[in-house]
Amino acid sequence: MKLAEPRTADQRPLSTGARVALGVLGPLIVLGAWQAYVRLANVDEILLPAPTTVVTALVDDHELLWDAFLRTAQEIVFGLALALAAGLLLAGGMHLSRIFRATMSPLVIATQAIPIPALAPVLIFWLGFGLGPKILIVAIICFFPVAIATLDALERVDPDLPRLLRTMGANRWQRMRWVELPAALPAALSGAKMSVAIGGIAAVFAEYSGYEQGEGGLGAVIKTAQLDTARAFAAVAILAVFAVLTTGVLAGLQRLLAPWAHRRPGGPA
Amino acid sequence: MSVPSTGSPAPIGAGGVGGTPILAARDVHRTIGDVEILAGVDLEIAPREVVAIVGPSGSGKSTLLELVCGLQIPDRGTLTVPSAALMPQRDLLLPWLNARDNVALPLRIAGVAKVEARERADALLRRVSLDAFGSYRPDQLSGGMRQRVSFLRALATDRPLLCLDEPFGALDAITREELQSWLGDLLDDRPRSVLLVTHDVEEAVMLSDRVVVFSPRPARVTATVVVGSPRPDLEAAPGAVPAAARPHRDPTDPLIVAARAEVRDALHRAMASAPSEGVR
Repeated sequence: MKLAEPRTADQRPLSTGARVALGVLGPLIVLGAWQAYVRLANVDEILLPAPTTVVTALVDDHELLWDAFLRTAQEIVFGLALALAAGLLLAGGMHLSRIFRATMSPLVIATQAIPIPALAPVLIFWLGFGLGPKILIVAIICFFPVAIATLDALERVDPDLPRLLRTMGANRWQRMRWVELPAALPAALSGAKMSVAIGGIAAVFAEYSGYEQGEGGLGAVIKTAQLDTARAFAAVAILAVFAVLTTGVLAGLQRLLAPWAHRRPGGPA
Repeated sequence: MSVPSTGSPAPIGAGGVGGTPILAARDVHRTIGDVEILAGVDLEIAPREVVAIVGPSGSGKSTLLELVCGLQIPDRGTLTVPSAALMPQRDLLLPWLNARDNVALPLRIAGVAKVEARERADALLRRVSLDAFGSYRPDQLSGGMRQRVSFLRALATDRPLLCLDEPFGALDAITREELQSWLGDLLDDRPRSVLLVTHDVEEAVMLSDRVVVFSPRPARVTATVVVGSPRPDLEAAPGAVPAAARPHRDPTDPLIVAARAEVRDALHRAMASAPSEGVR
């Protein structure tokens, strides 16, 4: 009987509605357990605020949190965009020139060993308290996955494709434009997707290291919350939701810009 | 009708066809690393002539194609070739372009503006009634359909010589037969010189005017077999459509049967006379 079944239930793709519902249900279960634990075990809410307390903080401080969020979101989005551009350029350059590649490889890996808490204060000391250094810090942290994923995709391009283009008389730039760039694009976006969460952490660290009054973003909210743990948790919750949304947007962008990478079954035979 | 190679160019008039050759290879040598691949290949192709090269696998057929398409240069000998369009073994369609833009690609690379290139690609697709598939990406097309699109891409830039590298090797038998007759039709409609590399004797005999047999590596031409009745159009009227020849050959036609037997025989002789290390 089992052999006759063409597909087991696990293999069938879920509908979008079911996926969203389950994606909401998962966190709700965790939050419910958390709430029950805090209430039943009488945990001190300065140590661990209950989810309902966090929601109250979200509502009470919504103006402060919204302004802070806008600031931090800008840092993350611009930082990611910069990382995407820099990662693509760097991977492209490393792919084109073996000398450039040999020179840059150790440097690129070394940037990943720099602890943000060490780098952030120095950069802010050099570049000031504004938006610029924070975007730069986010970009430095995020460009690595982008560059590595892009380089990997460039190395895996079927060598017969550029060869075929050579028989058509294509020059180096044309081979790049028709073969390598489109091959690298979905990979670069995957890299960016992987970077979203660490981008948020980098932004908060950057904000920790120095800001002008009222322009500290969510990092400043967390830093100044002190005993108001619920407010700090509210800031963290906003960051988490933003990471989920940004990843979703990047996945959508990937489907839009690189539909071939999402093979769907069917179509004409 | 088998003509043993004597070191001089394979005579083009072997079966009564003639004309100034569009491709002429004389004593072409090519060695890659320590391996001698081509050991003095002589070959000529007349305008509108379809020449098939058959030979044991690893005999240097692909190397010859790469030389003709300009991806390699001969170590010795002379090779006169027009600009050639290659239809590769695998379809090698760009996955990020739809069928129409894949057909238009060589035009875009040659500097034709996007709108015009697309119009010309559409016209080609319409010619073979594939215009409904113009907006499909390769991953949405079947293997046979992708091969058709790949062939149209090779046709797109009116290059005088088409190089087909085992064009239907990856397809199932039924699709292959269907595509061979499709290809015959299309070549009849838009005549070109064709260099067809294949290890399939049947395909060579059904599609070509002349079959050239390669020896095992290092390759030279060991035999030339003219298939069926010579096409009068190769000699006389350039616009005339051959009546008795391609397309729609009957595989049981005595002339085809004779040619098939002759090619097989030549292949076996080439294999038998070769040093065993040359055969893979």
